[in-house]
Amino acid sequence: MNAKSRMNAVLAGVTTLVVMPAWADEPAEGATEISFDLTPKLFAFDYFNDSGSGHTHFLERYNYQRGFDGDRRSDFYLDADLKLTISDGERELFRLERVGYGSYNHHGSLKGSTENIGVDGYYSFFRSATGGLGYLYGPNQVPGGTDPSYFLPAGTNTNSGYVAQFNDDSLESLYKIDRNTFGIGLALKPQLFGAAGASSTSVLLNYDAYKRDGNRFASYVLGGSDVAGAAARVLERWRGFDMPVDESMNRYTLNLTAAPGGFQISYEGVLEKFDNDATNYTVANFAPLSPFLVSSNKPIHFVPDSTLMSNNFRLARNFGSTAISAGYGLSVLDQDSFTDRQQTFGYSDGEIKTTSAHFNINSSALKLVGVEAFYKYYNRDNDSTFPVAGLVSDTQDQSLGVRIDKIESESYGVAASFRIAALKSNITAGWKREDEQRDLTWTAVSTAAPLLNGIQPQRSLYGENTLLDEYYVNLVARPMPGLVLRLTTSYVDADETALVTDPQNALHVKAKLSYAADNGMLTSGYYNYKKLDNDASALTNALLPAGTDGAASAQDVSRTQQAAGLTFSMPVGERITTTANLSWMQDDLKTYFLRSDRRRFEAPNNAITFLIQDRPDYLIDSYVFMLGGDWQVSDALRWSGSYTYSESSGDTASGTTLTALPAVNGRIDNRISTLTVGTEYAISEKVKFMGSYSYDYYSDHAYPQLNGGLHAFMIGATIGF
Amino acid sequence: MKFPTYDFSRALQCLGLAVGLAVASHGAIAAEPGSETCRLCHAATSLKAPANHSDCLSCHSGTAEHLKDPMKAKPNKAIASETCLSCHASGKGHAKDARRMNFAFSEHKKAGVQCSDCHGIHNPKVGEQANVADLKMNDDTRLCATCHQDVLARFSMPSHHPVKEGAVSCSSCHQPHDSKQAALGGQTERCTTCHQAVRGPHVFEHPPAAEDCSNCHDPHGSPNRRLLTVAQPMLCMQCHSIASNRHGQAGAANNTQAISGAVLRDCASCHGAVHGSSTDQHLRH
Repeated sequence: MNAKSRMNAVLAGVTTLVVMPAWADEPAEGATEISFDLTPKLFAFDYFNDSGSGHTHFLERYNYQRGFDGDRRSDFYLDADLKLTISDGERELFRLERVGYGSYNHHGSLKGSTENIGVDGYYSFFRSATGGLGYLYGPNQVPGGTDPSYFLPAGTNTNSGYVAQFNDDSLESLYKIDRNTFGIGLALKPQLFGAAGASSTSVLLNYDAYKRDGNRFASYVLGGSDVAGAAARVLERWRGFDMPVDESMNRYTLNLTAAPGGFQISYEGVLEKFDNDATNYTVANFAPLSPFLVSSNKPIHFVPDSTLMSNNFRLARNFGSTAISAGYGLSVLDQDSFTDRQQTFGYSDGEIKTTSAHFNINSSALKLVGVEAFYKYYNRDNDSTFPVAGLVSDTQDQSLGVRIDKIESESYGVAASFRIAALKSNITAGWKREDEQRDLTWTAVSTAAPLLNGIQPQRSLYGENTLLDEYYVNLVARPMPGLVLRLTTSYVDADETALVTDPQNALHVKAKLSYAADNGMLTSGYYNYKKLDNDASALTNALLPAGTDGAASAQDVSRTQQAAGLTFSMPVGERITTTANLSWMQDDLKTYFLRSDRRRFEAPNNAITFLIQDRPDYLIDSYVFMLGGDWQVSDALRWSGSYTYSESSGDTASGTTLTALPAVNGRIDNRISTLTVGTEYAISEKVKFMGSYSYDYYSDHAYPQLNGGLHAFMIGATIGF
Repeated sequence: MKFPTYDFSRALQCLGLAVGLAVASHGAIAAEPGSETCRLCHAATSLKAPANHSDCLSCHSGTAEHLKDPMKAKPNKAIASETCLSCHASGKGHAKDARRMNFAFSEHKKAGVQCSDCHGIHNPKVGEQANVADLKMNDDTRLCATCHQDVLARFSMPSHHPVKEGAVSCSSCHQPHDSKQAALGGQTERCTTCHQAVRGPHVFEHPPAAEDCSNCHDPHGSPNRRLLTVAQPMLCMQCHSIASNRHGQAGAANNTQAISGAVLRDCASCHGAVHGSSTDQHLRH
């Protein structure tokens, strides 16, 4: 033992005896401690290099800012964070926090807790301007958004001539929606219901709500009967308008939990009310804009008020190393407001009822083997009024696509887990089956008088049944300290699929390897692969006069999704941490472009001929690279920085489909770079200064008008009381 | 032999305290020391724990051996989930344990994730000092991102739920303790917890929207607008044929006329009621 070590040992002993109570620099039990931090912040921003404030800047979509002068491009504004905490030395009794990044992005929380009662509250305000970005992709905003050749020069095409002209009734280009979310919850803890919480009973009462305001650009096409007059009337059918958004939602939740006799039971009751307070538009609102429009009360993008009531029961119990769980839920969604047209025709009920249930058992009774089994049931009933003559009916011409009367599904499966002690691994092998059946109503077509046309199952890629089996193997291995390998493989084989997007065959592999060293270094890599194929569905022709179906055109969907990434995090000494992350994602979808000479609604009394036009390929690669670091220069000074680069590129189609598409739609080719630097300096325990600068730049080679950047500065000071 | 100075000093502290306690109590060292003994060495500031976790022995075992030989015998640091669940899955924990009652069947548990991988009793798993680029993210998002880097990467795509901006968090949509196989309700009911405007009920439904929102949308992030998994028209082409007499250049009933890019580029521009309509079987309005 050297001199230094001896001195340290003596000092340790003396210090221990003298300062032993000093470890209790926490307040004595029962003493109330209040701390309050206020952080006023000054923000400055400058959106640059874009097409001007008359349109939404790309970087505004999730970062809407407006300064003191009302300028959305370059300005500054103030905000403040606050944090108030009250503790009694044993527990935190109360916490109130608010974090703000300007008027359009701020949130806060409130939490109070005693032995018997807990209170939780929150609020969040966020403005999204993605609608403004969507407007820039509107039909009259991009080259090739309309096609005059559909009507000119002949001027007679009243079937599809609407494609020649888009009527923008909006007089607006800026679209944004504010979402103000808030809620409060009261928890009555087990201690309130029995000595020392022995009753295990608790009651939770929650109120959650939001208010959604703003506007969106809504587009639509009117039917042939909504216009009248000369052939040019067709040019008035395709329209868009500034649609106000004014919605509110209030939800009340009661949760009761108890644990009698070793069982844990829970009941959750939810009452939710959604109200649409915005103007409900009809064709009559737009009729004055054109002499060709036929005024009517036909609704345009009607959003109904609705009420949702849910009741969920849950039960769980452990029997030694065996756990069981069961649950039952019932939800009823009711439509509360109706259009004039619905009321006129007698549509008085809009109701969706869902029932769900599950049973799970999991046992590790055997030392190295675990078994699990589950059963899950789901049923969705459409109890809305049907049929309604004049509105929705299976016996009126072209009055029904397909009606989903009922969806009923059962899923069940078993799995076995094996622990391999030598490799510290756990392997799980399992099987599950999904069996879905749908009751669908199609038009009751007739080739005998009175003739009746409509979509039939033979001319739809939507089916009634899904029956698939999934086989999977999972591996979690910890072969050495700090090293973890997770590998999941699954294969799906379906006898029937209802949607072509369902897997007829699918292979899914997820692999992740991570290593955490004793020195704090973390590194991990992952690879995900998913391939899905479905060529089980076909559209058949309708031939006259016998009305039998003829040649089939089969759809063939093939989709491959891959993702891979590497993460590396390394502390450099005690004061510097660095992180790097690289991710790659690829989505490759091939499908047939199917066309028909007539609409499927016109069969079976009109010949429908389907044709495979093309087999386009959607192939997009995305990359995200992130580099970050934190440097605690001293106890008082800290630097932090990050650089993120993300890129997406590829074609959204191929072949003749790509050739037909306008440039802004056929290609995705964009990049976002973000550089952020920040610093914090603590003058004292109670006062800290901070500042940050971030630079963002978006470039879009497919749609250069969206290019633009953002400089953002923030300086602030935290003052503690 | 050179001893690590810091550890040796701490060991001597513990030993000194043990001797001191023995002298003070006029007896031998207690076989099972209480939490107060632990705190003599392990300063309370690094031992912050919620009130009901203040008893060290409720989670850590082998403390008596540790007191006899602090350098060699150390109490267990890694806490098995079963220890946590002995309170938090039995209703003895606290009022919100109803959300943890199915943890035994959860995807996290099956993946070998322990309670202590996400929950820090003594110190939060994600530090209070976030990187400046992550300041807007909620704490639970930063925690989830430590493992789910593939998902985090999607939030950097042009269209994404504003998670990195702090407007929503992972827990807004996900229950980390829950199990898909033990969940009640359908997939769409989760999305329409916030997106009530599109849930209807609709007179005319769009089947992929009625069955599962993820048939068309990727809720984390997408290179396509509106969180669409695939850009139009490819997304819609999977299920729909295109009728020439309403979409073809001449409006005639034949498969030879051109179908313009103006039609193909944005199906929802005409079929605006793509989630369902009160009026129109073609879902145009």
